[in-house]
Amino acid sequence: MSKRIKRRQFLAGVAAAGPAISLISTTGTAAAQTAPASSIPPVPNDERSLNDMPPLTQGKSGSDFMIDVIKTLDIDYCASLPGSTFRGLQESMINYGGNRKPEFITTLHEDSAAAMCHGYAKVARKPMACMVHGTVGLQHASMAIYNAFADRVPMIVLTGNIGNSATRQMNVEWNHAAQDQAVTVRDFTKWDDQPQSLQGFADSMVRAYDLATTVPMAPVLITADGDLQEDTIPPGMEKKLYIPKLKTRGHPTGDPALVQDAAKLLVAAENPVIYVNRYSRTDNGPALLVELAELLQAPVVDSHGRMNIANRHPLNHSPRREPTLANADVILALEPVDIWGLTNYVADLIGRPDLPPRRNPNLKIIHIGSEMLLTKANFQDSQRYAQVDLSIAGDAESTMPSLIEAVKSQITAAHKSRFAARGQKLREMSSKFLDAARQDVAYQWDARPISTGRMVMELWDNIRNEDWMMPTESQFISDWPFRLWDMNKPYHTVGGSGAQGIGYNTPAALGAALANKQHGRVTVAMVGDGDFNMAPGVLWTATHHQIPILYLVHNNRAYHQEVMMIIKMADRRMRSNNPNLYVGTKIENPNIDYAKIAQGYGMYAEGPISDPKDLAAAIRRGVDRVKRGEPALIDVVSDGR
Amino acid sequence: MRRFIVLAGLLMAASSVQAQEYAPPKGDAHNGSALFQRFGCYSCHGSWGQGTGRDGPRINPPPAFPVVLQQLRTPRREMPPYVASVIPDQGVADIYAYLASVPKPPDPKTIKALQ
Repeated sequence: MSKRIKRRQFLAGVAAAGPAISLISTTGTAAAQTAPASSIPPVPNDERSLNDMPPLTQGKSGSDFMIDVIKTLDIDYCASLPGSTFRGLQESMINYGGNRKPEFITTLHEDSAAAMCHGYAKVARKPMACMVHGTVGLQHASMAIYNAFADRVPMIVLTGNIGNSATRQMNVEWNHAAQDQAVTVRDFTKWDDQPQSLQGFADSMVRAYDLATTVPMAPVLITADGDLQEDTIPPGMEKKLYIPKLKTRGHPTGDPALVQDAAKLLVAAENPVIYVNRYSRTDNGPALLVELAELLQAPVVDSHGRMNIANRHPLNHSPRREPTLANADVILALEPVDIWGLTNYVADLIGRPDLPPRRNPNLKIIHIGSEMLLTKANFQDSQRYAQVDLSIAGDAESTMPSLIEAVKSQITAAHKSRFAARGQKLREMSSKFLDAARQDVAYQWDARPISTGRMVMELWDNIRNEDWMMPTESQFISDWPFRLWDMNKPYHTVGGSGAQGIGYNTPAALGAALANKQHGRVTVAMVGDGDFNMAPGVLWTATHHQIPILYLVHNNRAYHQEVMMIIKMADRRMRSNNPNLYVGTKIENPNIDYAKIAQGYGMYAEGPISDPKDLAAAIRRGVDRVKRGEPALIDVVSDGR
Repeated sequence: MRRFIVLAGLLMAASSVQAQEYAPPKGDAHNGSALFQRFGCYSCHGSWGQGTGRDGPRINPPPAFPVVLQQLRTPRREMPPYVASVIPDQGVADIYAYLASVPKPPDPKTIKALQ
């Protein structure tokens, strides 16, 4: 905003007290006030003032109106840490907005703020916001935003910018300003805008929320101009400002004719298989999937991108993934993310050969998903392009009711008889999954370092009678929860990071815990030490805001995935007998004491626990703390995987 | 990786008759334990050879020694090769002795957390 306009506002402010008062909002809990009368005699202005502007904001600020806009969007929380580029907005959020809807959640790193949004949205089924400093804060937040983009999770990212170079203060404000803030994250956000007026802010903010929460969901970014935030709303403008009402928008669903074709293929198939990854989007998703699977008596293979199906459902054949897919003559892939990988496999060998797994030569693949509805050119999260036999663009869960009806309409009595026989065989096979997993975990029960199976099952023994939720990834703990726990609620887990950017689990779990807090759920997060060290500051956030969560640090004292990789490289080159092989991959010498770190952040913590016999009691004490509404951490010295 | 596990199992089964003709060589379990860590065997198979699901199969108790040796020298699928200049046959024998010394697992029915 130019100096000319500022002077106009000043004149309006000093010459017309009436209009300034009329700008006071009735929507804010602490509306802007005029200055109280002072008993100190006034000093001539030209002796005290450095410029011709009044020292007090005359009426309602632009950022007050921005908060009015944000409050229409049902955003409960805004994770942030302070930054001068959004100081007006922060002050309005706390004082004008009463620090409610959204409530300011203080974090110690912008990456943690954004990752909290990621975890929160998958539990709350709606986005929260993060507010990050211009340029530098956005750069910090960028990896977590990319993870959420790759995971197709909504997030409202707010940043600030001192756009007017003529009023920008020297040094810091120049370093933190940009011609185009959003360029840092444009490759992995669904939309962004840097509105140049308050009306533009209202329009863009509502549009951003609308876009973020419509499938395919993804993060959006709004840059709030510094002058727009800090300046008084010009007289007469507020009455003209308008906040568009957000209406519930339906999600894109599959073409009805193609859905009929899909049903025909599924009903006619000898061995149909349903493959799911990022399929389930609402609490109703698993129930719809089970309805279709039971109609067809078809096995389901789950890659756990969301909580898609109960792990102990007899048609869940994920433990037999390869034989199940090999036997299929039709695969229905619901939001699979990587379709190509269903029939191909790039081996980690010299030359990276494609070694296709055994598949039925007459296999037909039906794809229903929204992956192709949002792609960007640069970062390659789109996975390899794959040809399929029937491709239906649309949200898989939204398409499911019409697919179920189409299947029902085509099933005859003869089909039912055939399907029942198929289902009986599947049930007989799956009845052995649990016992086999129990046998497997017994082999590592007394191992030292503490095995991941022991850690996972001692935790299970302490939460099985609670209303629990596990928001963290499990591929680094050998998927034990999916093999041995009883996961049957739509919120029991929420999938992973999306883009495998390390440092997701620790803060995203806290975001999930924030969403779980109102439900009184016990949130349990098993996080690797490598992941934890990317965002230890979230422990302070958990303590400061009293967000109940139990962290178990899977402390294998290494970047273990990379341990395996460096061994592979060295073995190929016949150099793995070098005693310095693990330089750069082990996190030891000194060993890190995670309990002490947690205690330093004010959190209850125990550890390091090295003896498996000590683990159950430590976890029990941690769970007790969480049930009392506190966060807690247990440091478990554990095996690699 | 899961296919590796299946193939490794088939390989072991197919070789079992032949393998019975070879007695395991004498090995030092203590040294084998150190080698198992040093060469990173634990990273995919777990410190007790218990297996880690998708990354490496259970090798506790170990299959016949010739099967282990063959898999190390000319591995199937994605396991990296360990040549004799890196782990001599005696080292393999020590690792084998270590895996054979790992305690037998308890009956899962006796473990409270598994009920």
